[in-house]
Amino acid sequence: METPLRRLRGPLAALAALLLAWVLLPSLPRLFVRESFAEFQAPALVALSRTRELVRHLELTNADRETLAASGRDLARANAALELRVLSLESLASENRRLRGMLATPPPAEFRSVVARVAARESSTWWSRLVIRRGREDGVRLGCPVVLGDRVVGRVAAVHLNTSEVELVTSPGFRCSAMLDGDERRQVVFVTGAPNPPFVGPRADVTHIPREYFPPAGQPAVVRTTGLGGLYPPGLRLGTLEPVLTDAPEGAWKTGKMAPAAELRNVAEVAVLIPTQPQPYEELR
Amino acid sequence: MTPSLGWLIALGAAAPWILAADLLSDSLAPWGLAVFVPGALLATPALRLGTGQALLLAACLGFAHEARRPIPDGAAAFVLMLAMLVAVNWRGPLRRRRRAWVAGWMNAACATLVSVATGFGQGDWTAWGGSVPLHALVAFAAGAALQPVAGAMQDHFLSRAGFPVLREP
Repeated sequence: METPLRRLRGPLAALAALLLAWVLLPSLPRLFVRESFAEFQAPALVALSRTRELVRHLELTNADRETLAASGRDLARANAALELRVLSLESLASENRRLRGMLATPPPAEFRSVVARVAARESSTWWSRLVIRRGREDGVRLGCPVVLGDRVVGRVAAVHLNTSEVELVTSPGFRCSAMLDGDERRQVVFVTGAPNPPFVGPRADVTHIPREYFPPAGQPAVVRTTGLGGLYPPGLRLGTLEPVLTDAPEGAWKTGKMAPAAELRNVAEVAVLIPTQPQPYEELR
Repeated sequence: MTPSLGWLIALGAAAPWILAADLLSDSLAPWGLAVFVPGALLATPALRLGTGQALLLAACLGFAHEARRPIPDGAAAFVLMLAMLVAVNWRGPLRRRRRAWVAGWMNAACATLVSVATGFGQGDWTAWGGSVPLHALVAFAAGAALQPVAGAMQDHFLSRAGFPVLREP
């Protein structure tokens, strides 16, 4: 009688041949398979997310009048403060335009923002991702920055018809140039996502920190985007640098860990910043 | 019902459980844990489907899993196909042993292989190597807990569609 191991030999050889054929296949058919399966699952994910939202909506509509009155009062205060801020920003913007005109400098990259609900989150050691309910049909493009207020959440890593996948700041595939608050020489450092073990707060690596840099005493050093490369607008908060810095093995700079600015793993709504003009990183792709 | 649709029936019966696992992963995201379940959804169809159909089901489950994750193209699909091939060739022991345990072990093995395949693209393995056993443990627990209900559902649909339990090939 033929043993299972002997029986397995033929099918295993066939599977190995299939694997070899798959590896040698051009990337287009593989991309097609990936896209098809992603699109096929998207409606179910969106439906699930909408159901959760409905449950939350029902919870909120059942809140007592006291809570609603308190929320309304808080919102009115926040609105008043924001109106003042808008006025001051408008005056700054007009001054900025005037100065740019005098210096004949090119206008900075402009972005329009698309607000997106988070349909699903997934975080493991090897990736940290969000699925958002906005996609190609809403104008979302690959590589667009994703923010929450002035805090960077990540960047769009895959775009489907009505959904997109966002790679978080702490995900191993994330790369960004940055500057540190308190660095008078404004030198560029690099933020790189890193594998994050479970039950440990997500962290990204910060490399190329100048040896002469010391974080400001008594307050966390904020890591901000530089605006170089056109991917992220300058000045957005990426996170805060942890105080312990270590010398890099190469000895020319220091490295540290950065805690993300936004609570990435609980975020429910984000904004995708879509450049109004094609950016250099898009043209290079 | 033509026998060629067996893989589709098993896939349809597996879909709600994949979504349930996605929901669970969403809830566990603050702790950095993701739940892997496709490996556990192979145990029951392996007993009722022919080799070709079973492999097609495994490939679909794998491609669906990796479509929304940065897993190397085909890694999950081929790992699940390999697991399915082994399960189809050991139908006897699979029938005799407690299927929840077998599903748990299969799921843990598949999760480990997929994790390693993903991690190899990320440089220094010491940074992620320690997480592999924990993720395997979560996959084992999820697979063993899911199999009785998901397996019963797959069993029900496949038997209603006229797919009997097969003997060893």
